[in-house]
Amino acid sequence: MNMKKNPRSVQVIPPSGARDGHKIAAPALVTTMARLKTTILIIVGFMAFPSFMMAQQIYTGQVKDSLTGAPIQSASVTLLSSGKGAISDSAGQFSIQASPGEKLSVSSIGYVGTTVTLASNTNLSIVLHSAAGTLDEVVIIGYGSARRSQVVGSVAQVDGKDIAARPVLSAAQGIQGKVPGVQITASGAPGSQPEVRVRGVGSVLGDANPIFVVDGVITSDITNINNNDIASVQVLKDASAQAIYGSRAGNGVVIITTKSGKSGKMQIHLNTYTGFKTPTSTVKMADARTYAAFTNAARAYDNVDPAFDLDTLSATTNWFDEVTHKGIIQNYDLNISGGSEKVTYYFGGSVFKDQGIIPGEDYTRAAFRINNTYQLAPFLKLGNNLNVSVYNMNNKPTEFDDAYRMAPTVPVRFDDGSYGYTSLLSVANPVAKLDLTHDKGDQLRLQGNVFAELKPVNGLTLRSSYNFDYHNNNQKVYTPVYFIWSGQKNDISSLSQSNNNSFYYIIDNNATYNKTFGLHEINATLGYSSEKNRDKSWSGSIQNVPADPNLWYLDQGDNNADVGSSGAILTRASAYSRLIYTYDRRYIFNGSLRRDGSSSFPTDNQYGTFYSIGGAWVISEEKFMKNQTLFNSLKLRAGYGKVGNDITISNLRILNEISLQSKYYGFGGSNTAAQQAWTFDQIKDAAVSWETTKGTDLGLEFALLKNKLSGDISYYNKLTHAYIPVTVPTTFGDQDKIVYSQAADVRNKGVEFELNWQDHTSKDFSYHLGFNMTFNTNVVDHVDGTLQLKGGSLGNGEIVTYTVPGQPIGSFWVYQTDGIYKSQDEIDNSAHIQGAQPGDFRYVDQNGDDLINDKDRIFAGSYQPKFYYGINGGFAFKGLDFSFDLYGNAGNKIYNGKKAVRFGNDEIEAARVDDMWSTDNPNGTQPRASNAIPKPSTYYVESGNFLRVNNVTLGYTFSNTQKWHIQSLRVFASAENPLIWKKYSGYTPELPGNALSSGIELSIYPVTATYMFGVNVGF
Amino acid sequence: MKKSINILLITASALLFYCSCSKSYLNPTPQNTVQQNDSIYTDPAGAAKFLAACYTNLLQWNESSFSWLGLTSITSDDADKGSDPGDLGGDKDQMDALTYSATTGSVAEGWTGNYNGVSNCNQAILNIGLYTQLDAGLKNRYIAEAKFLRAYYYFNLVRMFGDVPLIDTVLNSENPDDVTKAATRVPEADIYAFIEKDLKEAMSVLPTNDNQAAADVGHATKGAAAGLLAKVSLYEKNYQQAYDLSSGIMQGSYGTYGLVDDYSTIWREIGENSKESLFEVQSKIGVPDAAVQQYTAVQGIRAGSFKRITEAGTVSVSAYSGWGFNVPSQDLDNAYEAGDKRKKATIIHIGDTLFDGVILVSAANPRYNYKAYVSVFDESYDGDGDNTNKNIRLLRMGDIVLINAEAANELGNTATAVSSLNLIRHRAGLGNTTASGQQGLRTAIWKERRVELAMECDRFFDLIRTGQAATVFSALGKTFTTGKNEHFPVPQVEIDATEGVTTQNPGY
Repeated sequence: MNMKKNPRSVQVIPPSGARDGHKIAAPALVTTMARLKTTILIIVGFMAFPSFMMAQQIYTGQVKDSLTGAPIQSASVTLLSSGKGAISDSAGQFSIQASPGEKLSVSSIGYVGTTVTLASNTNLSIVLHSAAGTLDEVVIIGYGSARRSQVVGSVAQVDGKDIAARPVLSAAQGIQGKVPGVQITASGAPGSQPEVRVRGVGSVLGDANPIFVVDGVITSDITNINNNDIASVQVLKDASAQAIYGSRAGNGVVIITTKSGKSGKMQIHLNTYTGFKTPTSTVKMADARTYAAFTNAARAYDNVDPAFDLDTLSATTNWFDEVTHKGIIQNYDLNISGGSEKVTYYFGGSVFKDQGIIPGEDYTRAAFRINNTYQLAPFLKLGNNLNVSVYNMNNKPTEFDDAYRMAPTVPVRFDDGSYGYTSLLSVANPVAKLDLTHDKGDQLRLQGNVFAELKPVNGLTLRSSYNFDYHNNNQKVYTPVYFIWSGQKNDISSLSQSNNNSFYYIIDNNATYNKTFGLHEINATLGYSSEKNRDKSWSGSIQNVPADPNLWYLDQGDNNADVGSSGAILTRASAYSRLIYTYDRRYIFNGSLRRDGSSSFPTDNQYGTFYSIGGAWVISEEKFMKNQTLFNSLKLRAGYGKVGNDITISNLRILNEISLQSKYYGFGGSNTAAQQAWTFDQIKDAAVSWETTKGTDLGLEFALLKNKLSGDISYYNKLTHAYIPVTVPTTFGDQDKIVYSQAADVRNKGVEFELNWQDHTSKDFSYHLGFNMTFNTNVVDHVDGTLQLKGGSLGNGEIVTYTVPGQPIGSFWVYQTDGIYKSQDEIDNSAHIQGAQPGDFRYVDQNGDDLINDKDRIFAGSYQPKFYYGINGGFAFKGLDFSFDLYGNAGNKIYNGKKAVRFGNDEIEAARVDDMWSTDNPNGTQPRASNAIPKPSTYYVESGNFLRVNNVTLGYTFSNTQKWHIQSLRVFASAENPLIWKKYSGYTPELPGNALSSGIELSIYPVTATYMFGVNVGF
Repeated sequence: MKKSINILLITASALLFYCSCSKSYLNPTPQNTVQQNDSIYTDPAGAAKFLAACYTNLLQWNESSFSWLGLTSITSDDADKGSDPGDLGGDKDQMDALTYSATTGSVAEGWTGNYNGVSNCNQAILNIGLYTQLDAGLKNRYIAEAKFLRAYYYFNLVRMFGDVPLIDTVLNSENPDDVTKAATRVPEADIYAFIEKDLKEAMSVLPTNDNQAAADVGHATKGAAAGLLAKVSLYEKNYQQAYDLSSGIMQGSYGTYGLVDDYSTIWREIGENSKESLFEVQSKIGVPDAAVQQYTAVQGIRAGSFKRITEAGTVSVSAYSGWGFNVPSQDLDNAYEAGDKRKKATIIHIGDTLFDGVILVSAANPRYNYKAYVSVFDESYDGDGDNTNKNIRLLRMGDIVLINAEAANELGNTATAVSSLNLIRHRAGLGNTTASGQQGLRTAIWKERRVELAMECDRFFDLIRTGQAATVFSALGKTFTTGKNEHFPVPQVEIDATEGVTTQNPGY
């Protein structure tokens, strides 16, 4: 064994002991001769030191998991008398110099710490109980941490390693299915961040995503963070947990804590995986013959000549196949961490590359992180967390829409090599569109903080931090001259270039005071912060730029140069406080109070006060529970609070803005410069202020059967006083006749529960199984005045959602189909739409006025699921590990928009002609062949139920890796999204979109399946 | 070491007490946003910007493009919806079939576009008045131009909707009186009276086109105000006023105007701002954006293939293309007398060779609006098909001369009626009218208006004004309900926004 593990601290000698898992039951000084020699040499060395106290002995030992018996790495072992310590190695081994009678504290993240009093036996076997889900687990709660038993709000925690195990860009996607109450909707597009909804949709307008707090930096975008650098993710779900971030917490808070180094030897980890991506599911489209026959039939109904001679059709083009390929995904990650008493360090470096499934697109991100702490004195610590990330991407248009609509009779290229087209339909050749798009983007982002922590007296910590986030984005789009046909051409080349950058900082100063007086424990936090964000952007475009990529600069163009720039400043100032009072570890009171000012609002309405109050009762700590063995922990919690949001709509603050008009006016012909125009055309609501959410949370947390079974049941009910666009008469003089006002109350209430089972049947075999589920009801409770919130435009003049009191936000609002007309007589004798023919849908005349118009539309559900759930499990057997992770939702609806926007002669799905009505099939259940634009109807509203396999991983950890000079080695194979069970007929039931128009599939980048292989190596 | 710790401690303490809580911290100066304050009224250039907003509204999609074509042209017997059978352009099938309702989008846009214009004019009139350093003559002219445009927008509103709210000032949405004013429709006659007042005030101030600087071309003139008032008078059946004004214009009392010799040049780039034109919307390509949004794109040839005669022979080319809506109907095609030069200047047929040598080989529809055709070869074109150099001729001499003929005929002045009518016919390559008698001439003038002003968004209103609508539409198999279809429905969105205070037109 060549183990380069010599500790840097002189008090600690090289650990020794068995590496073989089979022998760890007897933790003894099992060494090879070589190691024994080394050890003796070092001990002799220490003995020679004159200051060395003769009474001290070398204590060695091993730290193990109580449940699985597995060694615990990186546990910190500290002598309470002197504060000196050691860190356990990958075999759980440690050694430390101490005297009998001294107290040794042993702790590790995720475990309940323990303290042992040293006796004469120098061989220690220390067993730690997993704290995961138990009342002693340390939970980060924003501006501090607490034991889980002290948390009165709903806080979910996901370990960083669970996120890093998945081949996804963003940690937001990594927590999908793992946390009840958190709904994640992702597309497959490289570089994209998924949509996150914490306990339903509150904000009607603007961003309904939660805020992410990355080491103190508040951001909406975490795609810059390498998932391997993440130590843990906490989701604050209710007002009592969120209130400390009250002014920003209206849509939830996700706290991301990155890794830091620990005192002890250097740890080096190398993680890599590589794999490929394919679409998870596809839609079967009609072949050329079916399509041509359908088109001819549809044209015949319109008395138009057939478009195809069915005998001379060429081969079928599968356009979906033509615009997709197997994309490669790769990740390389190296991290190095360690430290001494004075300094700890963590370095992470990674490269992530995702090609997506569209040829020509790719996203490459490099991220580097340095997290250090410097203990200058026992009472003063400085530190920094710095992250540098760079990405480059080639964007391609999401061509799934064109590929869906393009005629299968058209070849990708004609025989002469030119791109195929047909003038029958106005759909671009999707392959040509991909080839002709040159769109490159890049970003440099610097994010992090520097902080100082001062502990002037016992229990009091003063912390001051400067947190910043800078990003600089560039984009360059070149459009060449091309002519495929008159419907797809570009006459003049153009180049546009843009840059936007922003600098954000938050200066945060706070004091925390933790003190225990007998049975009373106080944790108080008081602080203030000031925040500023400054955005700047410019853009330029010009025409007649040469086709050579090296000449794609604005200088090279010669016509219609256009430039613009803009900027914005947003500031906030806040004071916040929190008190946690614990009596006898049984009763907990938690109160938060916060006052915030924001420059988003007019001067008179800038301040808002946010608060929470809550309590918890740890029943399992009661005397009457002492004699039972069923429950290991049992806790009841309740909380109420008010949180806010100030970023719904921009520019609310300026009440008397002059609008520069988008158009100039060309007086004086071509020789005179066009005249700029401005006017007052926006009415503002002078009363605008914070969008608030008030809510209640009740929960029961439990662990029983020796912590094998743990869980949480929560009820929540929250009300958001949301901004909505209030429609005013055009005659008021508001150009878009919309005034943004807080005029709607949106309620989300629900129940969520989580159950986890973990056990081991032998030293070699352990397994776990988890299930979580969330039932949510979203409803617009009340609206001041009239609400005319129609949305979900299909882009063909039809809208399909309507938000009204009594219905969920963004409910589908469509005609109800009622069978198919079999004869002209039936049409003449019923309310029908103009131009109805036999074979068309009959729509229900809901109000019986013999007309089919908007008054006959019905609400047909919304995209918001009635419930969603996650199932996960796995086992470990000797070196083998297996895990799976499923995610599903149910009770929601999807509008099959791409099918519903069919323009004349577009391609059809293969299933469209099944049992299609025709004069030969007068009882057909699907409408006749038609080129009419379909009416929005229940026919296109489909079930959104699905269950998807998020991830399946099989890994093997090698034993006896020392012979390769490495500490640990694991290889694994993993499949991400390999399977989906869905009712929906489109590409994917997972459709991110804003609150008013989500759940409509138009041109979605479908969820992709990733199959990959990876290696984790530790040195 | 001790010393450096002390320094750090002091620094740390200083950081702890660092604070940015001043009042101004939460009120950063708005970036890239102009606010109302005294300084914006010191530079007279700002007044020109307020005035320009009255004009830029003419370039908007909802004012002059798709909805407007739907409301005034596709509805008429001159034009069909066009495009592909299944491509409805939102609701253009309803416009074509006269089956629109209060929730039809085009109707709502017609209301919005014109009231936005009214609002911009009211803002201009109020704010231009606040420019104390602006030359008094210029200030009066600017305000007169705003009044001319306000009259134009109201003329559209009253023709479309009949009774409408009369907004003549900047409203305060917090003031109950203004809220009532915004919601209350006033009688058609009052709107016409208001239009007359605005136009007469404009006429008294605006310069004639001969006195207009070259750099001011496009600004409203005395002739434009007189011409619009003549047309308004015709709708009011105030024939004497229509006659006096149209005669005055023809005689040069309001500037220098006349019929151009070649009808086919009127709507081409070479015919921009000619002596034919009393008022036209200036559409300018390039940067900054000063073009009518997609006016030509929505009417452009759909799925066309083109050839062009060049020195190298006849070659396939890419010509201006669009969505193919608002196409001339077979009925219009049939309406031209044999030998009428205006037919081939108004309608593009498959197989035609256009003025720029382009031959239309095939396309989705049999006919297209030539007046909306843009030559990518012989006219200014920068590749942006949505924003083209096509000025919209809102008021031209062809119209004025026929107003003169109609007014004269109604006043019993047959000789003038015939001579004005023949002026138009001669330009079209036709002989003298054979019509006689007041009714005969009336019919002949109406028919002449149709072919002279075909595809110029005049026909639908003319059919209603002249009372021919029910007969004409019935012959085409469309239902025009008398007592209902004279007006469009008031958009439901506006009625809802006033919580039902704004009333609906009969029949909807």
